[in-house]
Amino acid sequence: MDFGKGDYAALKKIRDEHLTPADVIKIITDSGLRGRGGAGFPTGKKWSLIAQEVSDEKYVICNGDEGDPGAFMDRAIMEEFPHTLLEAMVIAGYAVGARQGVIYVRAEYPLAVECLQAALDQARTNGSLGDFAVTIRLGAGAFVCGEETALINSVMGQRGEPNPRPPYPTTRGLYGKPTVINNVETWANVPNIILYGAQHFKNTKIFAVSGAVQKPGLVEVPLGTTITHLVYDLCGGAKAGHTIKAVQIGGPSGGCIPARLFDTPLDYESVKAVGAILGSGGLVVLDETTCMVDFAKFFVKFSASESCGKCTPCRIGNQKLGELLDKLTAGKGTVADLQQIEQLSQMIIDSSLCGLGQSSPNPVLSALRYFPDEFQAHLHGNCPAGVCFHGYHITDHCVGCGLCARQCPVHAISGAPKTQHCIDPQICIKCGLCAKICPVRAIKGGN
Amino acid sequence: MQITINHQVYTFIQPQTILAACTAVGIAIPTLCYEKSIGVIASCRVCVVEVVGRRGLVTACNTPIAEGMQILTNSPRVNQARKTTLELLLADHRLNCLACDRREDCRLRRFASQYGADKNAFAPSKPLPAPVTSNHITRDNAKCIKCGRCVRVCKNFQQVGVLGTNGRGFTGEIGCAFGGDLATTKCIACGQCVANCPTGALSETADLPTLLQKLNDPAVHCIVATAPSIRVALGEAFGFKPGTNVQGKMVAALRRLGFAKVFDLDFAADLTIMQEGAELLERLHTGQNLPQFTSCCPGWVNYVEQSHPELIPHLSTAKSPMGMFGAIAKSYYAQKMGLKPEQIYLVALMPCITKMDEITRDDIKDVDLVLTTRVVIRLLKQQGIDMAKMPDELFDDPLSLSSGAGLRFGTSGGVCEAALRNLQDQLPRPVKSVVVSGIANAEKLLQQIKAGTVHYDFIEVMACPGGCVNGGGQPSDQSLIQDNRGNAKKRAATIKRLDKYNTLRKASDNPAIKQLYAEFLGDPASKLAQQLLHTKFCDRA
Ligand SMILES: Cc1cc2nc3c(=O)[nH]c(=O)nc-3n(C[C@H](O)[C@H](O)[C@H](O)COP(=O)(O)O)c2cc1C
Ligand code: SF4
Ligand code: SF4
Repeated sequence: MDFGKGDYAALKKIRDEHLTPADVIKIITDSGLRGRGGAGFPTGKKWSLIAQEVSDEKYVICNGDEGDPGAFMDRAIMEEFPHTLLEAMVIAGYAVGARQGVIYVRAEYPLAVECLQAALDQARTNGSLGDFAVTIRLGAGAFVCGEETALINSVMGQRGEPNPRPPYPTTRGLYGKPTVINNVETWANVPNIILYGAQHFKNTKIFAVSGAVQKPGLVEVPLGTTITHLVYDLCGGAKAGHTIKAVQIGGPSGGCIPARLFDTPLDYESVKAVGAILGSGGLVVLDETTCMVDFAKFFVKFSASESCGKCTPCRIGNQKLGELLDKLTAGKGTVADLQQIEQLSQMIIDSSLCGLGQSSPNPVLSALRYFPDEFQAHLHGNCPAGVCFHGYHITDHCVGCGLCARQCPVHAISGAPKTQHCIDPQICIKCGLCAKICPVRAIKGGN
Repeated sequence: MQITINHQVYTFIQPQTILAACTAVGIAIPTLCYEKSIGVIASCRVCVVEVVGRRGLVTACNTPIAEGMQILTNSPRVNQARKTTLELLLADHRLNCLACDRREDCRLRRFASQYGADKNAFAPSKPLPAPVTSNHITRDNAKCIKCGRCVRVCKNFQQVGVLGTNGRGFTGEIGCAFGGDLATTKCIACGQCVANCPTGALSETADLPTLLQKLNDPAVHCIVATAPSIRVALGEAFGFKPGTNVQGKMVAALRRLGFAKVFDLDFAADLTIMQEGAELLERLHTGQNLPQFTSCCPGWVNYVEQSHPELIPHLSTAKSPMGMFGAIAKSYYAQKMGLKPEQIYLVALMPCITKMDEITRDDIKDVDLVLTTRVVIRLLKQQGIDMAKMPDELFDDPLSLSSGAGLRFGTSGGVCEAALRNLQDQLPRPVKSVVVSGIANAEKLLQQIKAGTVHYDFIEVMACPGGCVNGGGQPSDQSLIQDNRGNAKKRAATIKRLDKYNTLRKASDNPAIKQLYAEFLGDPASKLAQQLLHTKFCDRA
C-alpha cells in the first residue's frame, strides 16, 4: 500500500484563491467532464442541480461498485489513488453544500477497501477532510447495486432494488436528501481539473481491454481516440494467426462494433450512434473464434442472473431471451424464434424499470445488426465460429492411443486400444481438452 | 397545461400523473401493481405509454404530465409491450382461472383477456411451486406476479413487515424471511395482503363443502350472522355502486342459500358495548388499567399478544361481537329454540380473515365457520343467486335488532363512538379518547403514549386502515385506478348515514338487548354475563 499522504492541493487552491462553490461548479462544467459510470451525464450539471436544492442535509456518494464483468478501472484507482477520491468528494461537498460522504465499494475488492480505509484514517488524522465526514460501505456483490437508486437503498440497509425515477437522487437520494452520486473514475478527474484549470483537462477515459489482443490491460486514452488506434496500436492487435472481427464495448449493457467500423472515435455520441455504449469502459476484443450468438447469450444470461427481479420485463424477459438464445445455440432455433428474440429485446429495453433491464438486450440487438449471417447460420445447424452445438469429433487419423479417453473429465470418449475412438456428444461438455492433448491432432472441433 | 393524448388536445389545470389524466378523459390504462393507497411501486410495467420524444416507454402510474406532452396509449409499440408483459407473466403461471379462488376480482385475468395475451407465447421455464397455507392464508406463488403490493401493505400499513423477496431475479419468490412459515412470524393474520393482491396468489381458506353439507343436514340448524360492514360491501360484486346498502337483499340471498335464520351481528355489537362500557366505567372509577384499549379487532389483539404483551391488562376483556354472538346463540338462543348447542351450526359472515383465527381461540369456539365477504360473493355466484334480483327482506328475531351505534362498529371510530354514546350521562369525568386504524398508526400512538407526550382513557384500535369497511376479507375495488381505501370510505359514509337515520340511538335503549339481560343474563356484572361474554388474553411474544 503506497499511495502517499495525499497533498490535497486542489482543496488548498480552493481555499487560497477563495473559490466559491459556484466557481468550483463552473470549472467542472467548463471542463466538459461527463460521468464515467455509464450514462455520461455532465458532472458539472449534476452538481449544480444539487447545489440548487434547499435542504438541511445533502450527501455525496462515490460509486465503487464496479460490477461489469471484465472491468477493473475503478479498482485500480481505489487502490492507487484513494486520497484523490477523498479530496474530490470534499470538493463536491463544498460545491453542493454537503457535509457527509459515502464510498460504496464492492466487498470483492478487499485491497481497495483496505487502501480506502487506510487513506481515510490518514486523512482524518491529518485533518485533510476538514469537517467533511466520510464512511465506507461494502456492497455484497450484486451488479444492480451499482445502479444509483439501488445503491442508495443498499446503503440505507434495504434490499438493493432500484426505485422508479423521478424522483432522481439529485432531489431525493440518500435518506430522502439531495445526493451527488458519481463514479470512481469521474471523481478521480476532479482534483486535477480544479488544480490545472478546465481548459487543460484532457478528457481521458480508461478502458479495460481484454480478449483476443496481444496486450490486454488498462489503457487511458483521450476521448475520441479511434478503436483502431486503441486495439492495434496500443494493445498490439490480434493474437498470432487470428483476425479480429469486433469489439464489445460497455459490458452487458453495451454492444458490439464490427471491425469495419473501427474508425469510430471512442466518445459518448459516436459509440452510441453505432449501437453500443461507452459504458464504464469495458472493452472485449473478439476474433473469429468467438460465436456472436453465444457471446450475446453470455451477456443476456449475466443480466438475467443479476436482475433484481423487481420488474416484469427484466425479470422474466431476460430469462426467456436467454432460453430462446439457448435454442439457437443448440441448433434448434427457428425463424419465428429469431423474430421473437428481436421483438422481446425491444420490449425489454422499452419497458424495464432501471438501466439494467433497459440495456440488457443491447448485446443481442447489436450482434443481430452486425452479424445477421451468424444468426442465420445457426438456424441451419451451423456455427461459423465452431463454438455451438458442434462438439468435438475424432477423425480417422486416430491411432487409438487412448490418451484422450483417460483425460476426458466426463468420460465421454470410448474405444478399444489401437482402434479409432469416438466421443459421445450427449456427455461431451465441449471443454476441448482432448483436441489439445491428441498427439496426432485427430480430434476436430467446430466445422 | 395542454397535452395531447392519442392526437387529441386536452387541458389540465392540476398537476397529475399520465394515468390520472388518461383516466379523466376516459382512456383506460391497465395497472397491476398500482393501487392508490399503496402508492407507486412501478414494478409490473403494464401501464406503459409512449411519450413522443422519449427514448423508452414510460409508466403512466408515476410519470407526471407536462406542458406540451404528446402521449400515445394506442400505438402498436405500446400495445405490443403490454401484451408481451402479460404473456411473460402468464408463461410460468398456474393458469387455472376457472377454478381460482380469486376469479371474481383478479386483475391479471382481466387484462390478459383484454389484451389477448397468449399463455403459450413463451415456453415455461420452471416447475410451479406448490401452494402453502398458513394463518388461514393460502399463498400460491405460481400465481404471484411479484408486484410487491403485499410486501408494501404488510410493512407500510401494518408495520408487521414479515413479507419480502427471497432470492432475486427470475428465481426470487415473495414470502417470509428464508421461506419461513407465516404462522411462526409476527403475522397478525389481518389479510390486508390478500385484499390487496391483484391476482390469485393470495386467498383465504374457506370450507365450503362442509357448509353445503351442513345446510343440507336436517339434523342441523344452520344460522348465519352478518357483520356490520358486509351490507355496504357485498353489492359491489353484483353491479351496485360501492357503498350501496344492500342489507335487505343480502338477507334474502342468505335465506336462499338455505340458512334457517339470518341474524345481524350489530345486535351483538350493542351487547359488546354494554359489557365493554361497564368495564370502562369500572376502570374509570378505580383508575386501574387505563387507558382501556378496545379488543373487538382480533388483528389488534394478535398484535398486542405478540408484540406488546405488556398492554394485555389494558385490553378490554369483553369478547368481540362475533364472540358474544356465538356464546348467546349457543346458550340463550338454543334454549329458546329448544335445541342443543351442538345442533346449531353458526356461520359468521365477516369482512375479515383474522376472524378465522379468532374462532380457534378457546372461548370463541361457539362460531363454527367464518366466511369473508369475498368468499360469500363466490358462493352466491356459484349457487346462481343474483343479489340484484333479490327482494328486500328483514333479519330474523330475536338476535338482530340493533341501535345505530352497533352498526358503527363496521368503521374506524365506531366502537369508541358507540361506547361513549352509551355512557354519556354516567361518566364520572370527561373521558379522553382516541381512534386509530392500521397497526402502523397504532404503533406510532403507542410510542407517543410511552414517551408520555399524550394521555388517553379510552383507545379504539382497528388493524385494517379505515376499519372493517376496509377489512382483509372485503372485495377489492374494480375501478381501473384501483382505490380500495376510497371504496372503504364510501362504505363508511353509508354506515354513518344509516346510523344517523336510526331512531334507536344507543345500545342500552335496544329492546332486544334489554330483553336478553332481563330474561337471561341479569346485568353486565352478573356471573353468567362475565362467564359468557368475557375472555382472556395471553402473552405470545
Ligand atoms: C445496472 C447498473 C449498474 C451500474 N453499475 C455501476 C457501477 O458499478 N459503477 C458506477 O460507477 N456506476 C454504475 N452504474 C451507473 C450509476 O447508476 C450512476 O449513473 C453513476 O454512478 C453516476 O455516476 P457518473 O455520473 O459519475 O457516471 C450502473 C447503472 C446501472 C443501470
Ligand atoms: S430492470 Fe431489472 S434490475 Fe432494474 S428494476 Fe427491473 S428487474 Fe430490477
Ligand atoms: S402475492 Fe400478490 S400482492 Fe404479493 S407480490 Fe405476489 S401478486 Fe403481488
